Amino acid sequence: MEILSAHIFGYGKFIDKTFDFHEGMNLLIGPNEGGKTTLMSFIKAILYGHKKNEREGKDGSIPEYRKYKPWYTDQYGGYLIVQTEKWGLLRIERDFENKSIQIFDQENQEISYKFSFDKSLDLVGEDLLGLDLDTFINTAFIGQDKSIVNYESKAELAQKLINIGESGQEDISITDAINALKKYDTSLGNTRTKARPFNLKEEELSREKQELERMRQENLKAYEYLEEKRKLEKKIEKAKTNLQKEQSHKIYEETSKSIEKVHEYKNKIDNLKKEKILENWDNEASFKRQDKQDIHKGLKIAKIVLFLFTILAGVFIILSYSLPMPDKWLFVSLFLVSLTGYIFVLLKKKSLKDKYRYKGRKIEKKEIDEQDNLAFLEIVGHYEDLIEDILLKEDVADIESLYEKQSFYETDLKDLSLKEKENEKSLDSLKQDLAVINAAINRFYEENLSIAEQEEKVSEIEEDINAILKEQEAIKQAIKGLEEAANIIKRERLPKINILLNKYLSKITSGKYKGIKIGKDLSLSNEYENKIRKIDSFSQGTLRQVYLSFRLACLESLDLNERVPLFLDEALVYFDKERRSRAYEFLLDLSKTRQIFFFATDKDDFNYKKEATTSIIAIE
Amino acid sequence: MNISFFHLADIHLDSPYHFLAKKRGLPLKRRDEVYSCFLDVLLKAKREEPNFIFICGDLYEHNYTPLKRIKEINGLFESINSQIVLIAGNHDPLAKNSYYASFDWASNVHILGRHKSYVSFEEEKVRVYGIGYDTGGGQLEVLESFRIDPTYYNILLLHGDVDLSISTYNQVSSNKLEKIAFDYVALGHNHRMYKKDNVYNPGSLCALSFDQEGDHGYFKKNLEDQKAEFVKSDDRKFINLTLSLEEIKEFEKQYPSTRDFYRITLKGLRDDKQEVPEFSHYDFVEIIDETIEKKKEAYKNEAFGLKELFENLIKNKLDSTNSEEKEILNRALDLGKRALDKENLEELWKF
Repeated sequence: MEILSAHIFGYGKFIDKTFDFHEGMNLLIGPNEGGKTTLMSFIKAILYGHKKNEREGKDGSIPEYRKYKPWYTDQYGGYLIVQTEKWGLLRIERDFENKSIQIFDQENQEISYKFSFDKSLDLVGEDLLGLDLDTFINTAFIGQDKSIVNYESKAELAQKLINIGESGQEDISITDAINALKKYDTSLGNTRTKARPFNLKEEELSREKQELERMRQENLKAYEYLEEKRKLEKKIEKAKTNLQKEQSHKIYEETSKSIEKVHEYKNKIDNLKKEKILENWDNEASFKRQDKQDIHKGLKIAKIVLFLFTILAGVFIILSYSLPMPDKWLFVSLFLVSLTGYIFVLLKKKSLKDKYRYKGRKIEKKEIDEQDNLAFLEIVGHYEDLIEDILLKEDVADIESLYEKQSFYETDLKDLSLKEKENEKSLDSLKQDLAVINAAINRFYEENLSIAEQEEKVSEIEEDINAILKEQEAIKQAIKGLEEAANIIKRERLPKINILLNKYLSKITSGKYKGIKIGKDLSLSNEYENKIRKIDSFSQGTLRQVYLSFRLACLESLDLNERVPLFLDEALVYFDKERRSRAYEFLLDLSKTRQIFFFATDKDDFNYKKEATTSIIAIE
Repeated sequence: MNISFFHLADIHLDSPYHFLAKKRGLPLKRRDEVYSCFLDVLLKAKREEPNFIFICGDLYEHNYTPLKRIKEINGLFESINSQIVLIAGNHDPLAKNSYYASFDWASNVHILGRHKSYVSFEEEKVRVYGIGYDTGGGQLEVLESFRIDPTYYNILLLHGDVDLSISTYNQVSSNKLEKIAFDYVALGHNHRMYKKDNVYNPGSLCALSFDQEGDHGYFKKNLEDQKAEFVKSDDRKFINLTLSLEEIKEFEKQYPSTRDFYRITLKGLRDDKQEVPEFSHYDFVEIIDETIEKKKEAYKNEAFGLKELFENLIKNKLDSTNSEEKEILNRALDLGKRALDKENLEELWKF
């Protein structure tokens, strides 16, 4: 690829400025601060864009996007016209402000869609040159590198060479990278370490697992307590029933005793009564008194009837005398009847008189006995009072009710086993147990047991540990990849680079240095003087030559479709006069096959040799 | 008399949500949501005063639900003027050590099971039969013994499936149920809503995982009405999508609800420059990347610098590995590059 021209709408100090380039060597001459670096940055930015998310450097360097934003125009961008093998003539235009890119072919058709897209738009350079930005900067872009300008340290330079040998890139050290990865791996921790993320998470896991187990046990306990409560309530219920039965049985027994007593008293009364025929006597006596009065009445009536019969008999006899026959017979008959009646009544009266006498005697006798009977009645009354007391005590109205009470409290105690009877005593203690269980259950009513949450917490920690293990596996893979890559470079690229390095170095040093080699152990050796010398034993000037050769060898060793233009920003400024001249001549030679942009100040005190292909462009 | 009921099932209170754990705090949030969804139903019951609430199993999670929750729920049940009839499910089986067996439930809560296979409500002339889950097995046998009294409105609560041959337990045929002639068969267990004739399965009250797309809620019925009405829960949805990288660009436009749960399976071809988008402002978007990378040439071993060579080596490995190793290799790539760029790696690890 060749860059034919650059037109800047606005970039750093340049506004609406065009630079024309040619194939071969382009000498871009300008004073310090003249804009050489700006132009280089512009070309690089058109191809690769600005680095995304670039921050201010520790040394105070400003990110390119901000650094080159023009002050006096709104337009921030421009275009390059390039000639490519694959695409032919192209115009690559960028607007850095809007972060947009447009690519036109020689018919002025926009063909941006044919290029790879990515947010940072840096893939165009990669599509065109076959190099990513990193590699481009590390090979084709030998800039006004701060480390080269400001650092004279041989060790630094030597490190760069080693890095190139190791990684193909001067600022990349594979050893450092692998060490950093290993250190990172250890910092994450493992079973042999302490207090590292892995260990902390393992401890946390063990803690939270214990907590989870505790919660599960707690929950089981809640179930157990509830079950226990249920059982206790049943026991208490049963104990209460048993107690009731017992009490009822007791009442039954007491009532039965009372009934017995009542029976006893009643029997006693009955016996007494039987003995004294008290009740009968009583009835007889009253009856006899009544009899005596009745007899007395009967006797009176009998007297009157006798008197009447006497008068009637007298009248009838007189009439029978005085009246003729047949009336005489009628009255004689009536007289006889009256006489018969008189005799009957007389007999009756006699019998009544006897009865009256007998009854009278009897009454007299009983009246004597009544004195005794008063004492007897007192005894009976006493028994009756006792029965009354029992009924009162039993809280019943009469003996019938007492029987009812007895049958009401009659209890079947068969289903009360002995054991249960023994347990009955514990009704109170059962109640106490229930109170304890209820208190325990109350605690669960308040306790926030989120087992699910805890389980998820454990899973999260396991995930975290898994993430650490994955990270460590990724570290392992990264190390493996780096070692593999380094091996490929050592095996495949280093021999190529070594050949080119020696070819270029020989040219630059006029054959003084030959057989410089980067060893597999990445030592730099030199066959010159038949000695193997370590890299830091070379002079600084020589190292610079080696470095330049190395960089060129790296670029040349790449097998690319496009010839990538080479950019050198005052790259020879620290060479001595002779070496600089030789190096320049070598570059001039190289420009026959590759477009070179050689940036220099006009103060450079050697005459730039010109060839037909050399163009000089002033920058200011 | 106007008699009505709510029929719900599979609330799964206190269930863990491991699959949501990728987003910290989300499982807890989801658990609270499911609980408040259940509370909403109870609140509606309080307002509408249905005569009955039937809960057909898996109300809670035996292994996860604390006593405190049961006490809360029971308190709420008690405050409702409805009779609540419950059966156990396979997640809350009626075991000896279950809350169903040992907790002192409110007087309007009736738990049916082997110990008590039905409950009659004389005033309403409603009889509710229940076949739940009690770990003993053979629960369905009791079905044979049910003799329906046609003077009642007869309801069967069953934690199981009807006419679903793949179901492994409490699986019953609709023919059998027809013979017994229940007026309403209330199912639970299957998390997807379905209904057939007088058999109603409300599905889980809320969707609980990605295999439970579709509507979730509960049935509401007035005995005089022919059919039960399905009341949707006001809840997030679980949505499974299969999209290409082109289609996923439209995702936010087509699915603006950021509170639904999405699982997107990415299919189709992808070149390595195409990035899988992230939707961090959504509550939960899980992307399963099943795209096939466009066939391309292997990355050259002959790269120009170590960094690129390293990248190519890893990328070549990436092309021939499965997804989990892919994740590790991608990380290896990132770590390797960072190490080469001399970044301080030890600052990377933060939980």
